[in-house]
Amino acid sequence: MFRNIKTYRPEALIETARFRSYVESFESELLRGISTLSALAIIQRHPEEGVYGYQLLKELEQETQKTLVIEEGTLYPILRKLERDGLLVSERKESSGRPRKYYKLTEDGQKLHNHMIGFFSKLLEAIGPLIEVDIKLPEKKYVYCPNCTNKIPQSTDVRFCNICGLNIEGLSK
Amino acid sequence: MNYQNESKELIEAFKEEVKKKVPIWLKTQVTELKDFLDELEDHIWDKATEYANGRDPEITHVREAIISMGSPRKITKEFKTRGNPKFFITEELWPSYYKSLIFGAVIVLFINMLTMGFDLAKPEANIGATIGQAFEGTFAGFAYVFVGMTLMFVQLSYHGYLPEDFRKMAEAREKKELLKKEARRVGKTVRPERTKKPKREKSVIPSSGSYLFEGIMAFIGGGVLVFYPFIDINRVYIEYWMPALPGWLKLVGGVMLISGVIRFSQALIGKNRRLQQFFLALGIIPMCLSLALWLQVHFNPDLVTNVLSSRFPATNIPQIILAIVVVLSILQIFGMIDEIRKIVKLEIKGFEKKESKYEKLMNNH
Repeated sequence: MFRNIKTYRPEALIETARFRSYVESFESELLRGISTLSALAIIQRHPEEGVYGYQLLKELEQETQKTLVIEEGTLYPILRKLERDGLLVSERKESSGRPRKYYKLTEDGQKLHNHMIGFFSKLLEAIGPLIEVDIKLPEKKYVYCPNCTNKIPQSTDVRFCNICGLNIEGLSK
Repeated sequence: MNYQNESKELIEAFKEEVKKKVPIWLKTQVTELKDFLDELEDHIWDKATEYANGRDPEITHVREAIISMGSPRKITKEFKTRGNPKFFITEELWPSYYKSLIFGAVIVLFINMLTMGFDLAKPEANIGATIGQAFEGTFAGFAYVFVGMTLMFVQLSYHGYLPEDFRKMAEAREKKELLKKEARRVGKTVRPERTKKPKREKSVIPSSGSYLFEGIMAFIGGGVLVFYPFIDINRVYIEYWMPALPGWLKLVGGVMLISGVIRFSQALIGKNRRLQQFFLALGIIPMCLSLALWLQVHFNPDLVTNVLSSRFPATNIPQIILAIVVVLSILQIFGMIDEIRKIVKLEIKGFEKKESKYEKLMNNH
């Protein structure tokens, strides 16, 4: 989904046929899940009016300082898959004289998004020492369910994880 | 042509190219496909307007915007990642696969048992041999169903089909039927929406899909002729009047099976030029055998000529059979020539990528 915008010297190791395809498939595997997560994260920011594809890509580009550059057409099949899976709902609306399809998170989509974000955050934290990066999770703001890694805001008065049902009362700080 | 029209044409060509490459399940969902293509178009106009700094985009801006969309192949590839792979067939399709296997197996069992019933009813029936034959036919049928269904479901999984797509297709068909009925009731005729299809250039060899289809057909046809489950119904008649026919039918079936194996292999190979050429050449062998078998119909009167001549003495049966054999033999020879033509064409052109209208337009601007 994400476009590779890197170019290398012809004699560089990863320009060789063998390593180039290896690196490309590694990157695309890694980015497949992240692309979904990133798209959902942007959509989550527009709970009322929703967001249309082009706007989503623009925001993503700005947020990631153009590190994640999407091959734009590939976003739409992903949005449609998320819609079919019940994570998103869409609505066609006119905006600036042009019809656009606005996407919003469903209630289930919101829950799953929190779970996916929680999982990815905990995963990053766990592998941080291996890749020599320091990941600090905002644990003052959120509780990460020890059972399913769901990300739950500390401010909400929740007794049970809304994904796996674990009692998380004692975990709030 | 002004810029606006040129831009529209370019976008339409891009959409057409995407449409061509979407998996079959999406093609069947007309509204969803149209909505998806419209969404792509909206995006292109947004992007082109951005490139034009908010002014009306020119053709170059539209072209840049289309490039930023990614290739139609890559866009549609995302649709093919549906389903969780599980031994070549997606997890979602496994229940339908099981059901189809069972359904196929039941039909095979039914045919074989029916044949066995007819056979056992005859006074001279050899019970042991008949039962043995029926089981042999049943297991061979199971094997055919298994191979055919598996290949079909592997192909469906590859295209990202999900069970709900079958349901949607059925619903769409029902809706269409209802509309037709309604129109008939009010005395109007409903004509399907006609869209102007761009003329498609023929590729050097048929697609993997059509080879797979040919393979399955050859397997089914060949299997029926080799194991000929209905022979016991009219065995006495055939053995008396046309004693050479069962053997001849088995040979035809065998040749069809060989062709089926070759077609399957061609479907699996895909765009490997050398292997395709090898199998195209190999395909000539069963064609030669078929030719020999057609000629046999003329040269061996025991096959059908004698029996037909005795039944219809007033007609010149040998002449009619000769005419049929000549026509079929000519067709067979043309088939062989066509295979040779494909080998040569592959050598000269390879799997030449035909420039689509979209690519032509993109390259021109």
